[in-house]
Amino acid sequence: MTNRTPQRMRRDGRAALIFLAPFLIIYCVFLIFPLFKAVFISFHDWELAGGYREWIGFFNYEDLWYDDYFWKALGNTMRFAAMAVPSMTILALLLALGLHGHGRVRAVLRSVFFSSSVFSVTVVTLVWQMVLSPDRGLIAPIFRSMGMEPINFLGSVEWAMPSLVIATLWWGVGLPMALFLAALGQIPDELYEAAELDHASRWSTLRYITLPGIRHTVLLVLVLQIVGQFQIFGQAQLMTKGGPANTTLTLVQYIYNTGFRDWQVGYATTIALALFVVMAGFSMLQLWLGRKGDDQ
Amino acid sequence: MRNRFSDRLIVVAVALFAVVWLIPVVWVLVMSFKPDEVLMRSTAGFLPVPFTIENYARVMTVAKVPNWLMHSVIVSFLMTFIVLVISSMAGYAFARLDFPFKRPLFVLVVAGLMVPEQAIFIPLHTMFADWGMHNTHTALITPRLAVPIGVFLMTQFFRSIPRELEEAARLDHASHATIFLRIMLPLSVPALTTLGLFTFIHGWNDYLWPLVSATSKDMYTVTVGLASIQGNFGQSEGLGTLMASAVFASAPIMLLFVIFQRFIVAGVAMSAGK
Amino acid sequence: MSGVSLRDLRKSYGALDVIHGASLDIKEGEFVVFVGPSGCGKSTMLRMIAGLEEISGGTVSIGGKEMNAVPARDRGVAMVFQNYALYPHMSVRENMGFGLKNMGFAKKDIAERVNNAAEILQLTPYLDRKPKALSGGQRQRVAIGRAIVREPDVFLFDEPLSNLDAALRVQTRTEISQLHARLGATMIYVTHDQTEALTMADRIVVLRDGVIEQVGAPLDLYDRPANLFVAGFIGAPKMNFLSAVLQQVAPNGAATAKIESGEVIPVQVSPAHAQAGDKVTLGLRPENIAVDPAGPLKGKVDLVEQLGNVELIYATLDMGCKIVAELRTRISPLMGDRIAFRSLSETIHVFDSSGDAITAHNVLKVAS
Repeated sequence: MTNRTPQRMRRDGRAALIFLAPFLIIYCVFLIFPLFKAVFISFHDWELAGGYREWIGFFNYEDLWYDDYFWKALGNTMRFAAMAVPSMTILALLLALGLHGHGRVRAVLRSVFFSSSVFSVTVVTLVWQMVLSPDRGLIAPIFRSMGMEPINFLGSVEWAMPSLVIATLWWGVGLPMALFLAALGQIPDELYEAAELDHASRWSTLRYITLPGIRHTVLLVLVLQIVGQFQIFGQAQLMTKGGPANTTLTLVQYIYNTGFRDWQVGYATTIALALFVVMAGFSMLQLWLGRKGDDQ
Repeated sequence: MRNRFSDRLIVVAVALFAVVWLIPVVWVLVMSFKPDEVLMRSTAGFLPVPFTIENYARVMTVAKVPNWLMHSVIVSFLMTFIVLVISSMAGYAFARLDFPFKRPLFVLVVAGLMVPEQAIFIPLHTMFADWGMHNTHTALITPRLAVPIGVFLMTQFFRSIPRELEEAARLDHASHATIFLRIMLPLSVPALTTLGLFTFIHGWNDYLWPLVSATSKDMYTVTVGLASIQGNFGQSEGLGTLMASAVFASAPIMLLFVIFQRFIVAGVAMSAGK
Repeated sequence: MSGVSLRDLRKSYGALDVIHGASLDIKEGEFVVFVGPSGCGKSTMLRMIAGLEEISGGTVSIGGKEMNAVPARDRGVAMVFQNYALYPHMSVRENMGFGLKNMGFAKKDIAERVNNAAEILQLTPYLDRKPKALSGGQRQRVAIGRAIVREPDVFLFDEPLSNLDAALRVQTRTEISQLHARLGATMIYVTHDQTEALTMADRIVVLRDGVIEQVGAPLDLYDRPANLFVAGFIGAPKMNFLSAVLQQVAPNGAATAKIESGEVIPVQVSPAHAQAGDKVTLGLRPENIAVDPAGPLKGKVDLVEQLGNVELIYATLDMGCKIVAELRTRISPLMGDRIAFRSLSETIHVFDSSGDAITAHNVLKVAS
């Protein structure tokens, strides 16, 4: 039981200050202050270099509302998330179900599927650009052997986005898989033994014991994935440059282009804050779901 | 015990899938050992014939890859070290000390989890520009130190250590510093390892911030550097060299993963377990 | 070495009072046991003495000096925790030497004291092991050793035996008693187990709901419980209680009490506190009940427990209440048999309607 009488608080206060100061200073300077500064910048016509800044009030926000590129980028990002999140979750769940349990083979396979997560986005995109390349890639020979012209995956309006999803799956499945594995490990063995004595089939065990047992983790993974995939940047920037015809232009990429290619820092920050609001909404959703889960 | 056969079948199926999973990596690895001239004609085949290490030799001597690698190592190591120090200190205060405004402060820190990097990288950029500090290690490291998740994890972990241990230490004439250094930290090695690994991997693979901060070719980290040379898809440097660079850049992080994979998976379990 | 005084000690968590003003003087070298059911505040009191818990009101003094504002480490106390609280990453040697090291003792002195303590506690072969590699009893001894090396003025024990199995508990109990005899230090020991209290204490402090119910030597408490709570808490099997009404009270305290079945039992009460017609509760220790076919307490046998040296007979009296008798003789009735008991009248405790003892020996003691 903690006790919070003033005496103890006073005694600990000085120690707490010393222990907290390094983090809090860095936190305020490099996280809280920039956040407020972002709001400040968004009220300006602010250029990256040259020091041109002019207070323009809500003009950037008005611009944003009528900016077709912004809505397109938002739409693309949502389309990407809508493809990547369910497929990532299902793939991670299937892998975790298959690899949950003891044995060397399973342990090695778990490592294999996790290993691709440690590559940097540049390596991942390099690998997949090679794999998907129509003239030098790994898939092209398959098409040729069937007498077909290889598809230019990254250059095609229909295939570019799914290609980014595939690369993202390959890169990112490790973490949700590990989360599912951890959750599966928490289900007591006795439940499975009882189910077996109750003549439960493999399917009904999955349906009535395993899935209900990990439903909180499913929610957690879904929210983490939504938040994570909304931030997609590297894959699109490096594999398709947002093309073809801006069909893979994502929000973060649009922020980067606006700020660091077109130097419109004020407007870029406005888009960034819009992204922040969207993602904060999802984080709230996570908190709300988490609290709801606790009540049960 | 039951359904041994179907269990095996599942493992075999997943194993086949794992082979497919690894094919791209193996392929890239193989290409990194083939001469550029051969690759110009054909990239097919999973055997490194003809075999050459010339690509790696070129990476080491001609390209700036070793230079970038050095920046990545310095930045990732320092970042990891400082994150561990400040997160564990703050975590100890939140978990074990009583002080005014403790709750609101903790809420403030946890709320920081909701702020994505993309929301603040532009103001950060203008700050470092004002200070004239872009293209320095400091600029690459400091914005990455304010990670609330580290404080959150360490607070949770310290809370799980029995309070009696600390009370025993207090009766044993230990100061807060002694309790922290001699009792809490040694008991937190698993948590510190996990947090350290994730910080390191994150720092190593960081892309957006180094891309806008380290704009001079001499200050690239390996991640940004690789992106700069793959831009023209290996035309200028040669495909084999490009592949060798990728392998070379991934080797340290892969090595780290192989050594510590046990902690990584355990760490995921811990951070998810609450 | 020093005694410990509590003056009107209070503890509250917000609006919730857990200790309601406890006063107590513990003499130098005394072995005092705080006993009571869980939640009675005994551990909180111990932790306030240790300095681990803030004091809400009143004072704690050790060796005559007020300690309220003195941090735990400077109070000259050592504590043995319920879960031992051994530092898992340190060897036994380091665990025992940690406090001395923090106090700045020389390496040589630390080694000497640790070795001595290890000798006393038979821990010498295990000095380089980690706590994980020790048995429960060994860990317990390390925890005690960690307290000993500090040579504190006051030892505090917080339910130290509750994690040991029954046999080890008895053994460690004697070891702690011997340790007390050997060191002669003041020891305060908290337990919920009245057997531990009876066997180890110089004086027992019985607590209930944050109030000290009675303080006294073990046999004082056993023979002369001050109220129903102490009477029921000390002693196993528990004292039997029967409700009754006083019939007549003579000036010398000789009285008769009528129990619900109508039988009349002679008792001794303090005449100043009793008069005819008072509702009272009679208390009979199980070993003070004899089987007697002509006895006033008639009933039916529920269960018989054979312990070898004694026999416990659980019965329901015709008046409805349950009773336990502990017999040295083996009469071994069958379940459901009719049975009648008689009490040895001079050992009947009498409590008034508010639960306070009005048994005559209390009065006699005051008079003498």
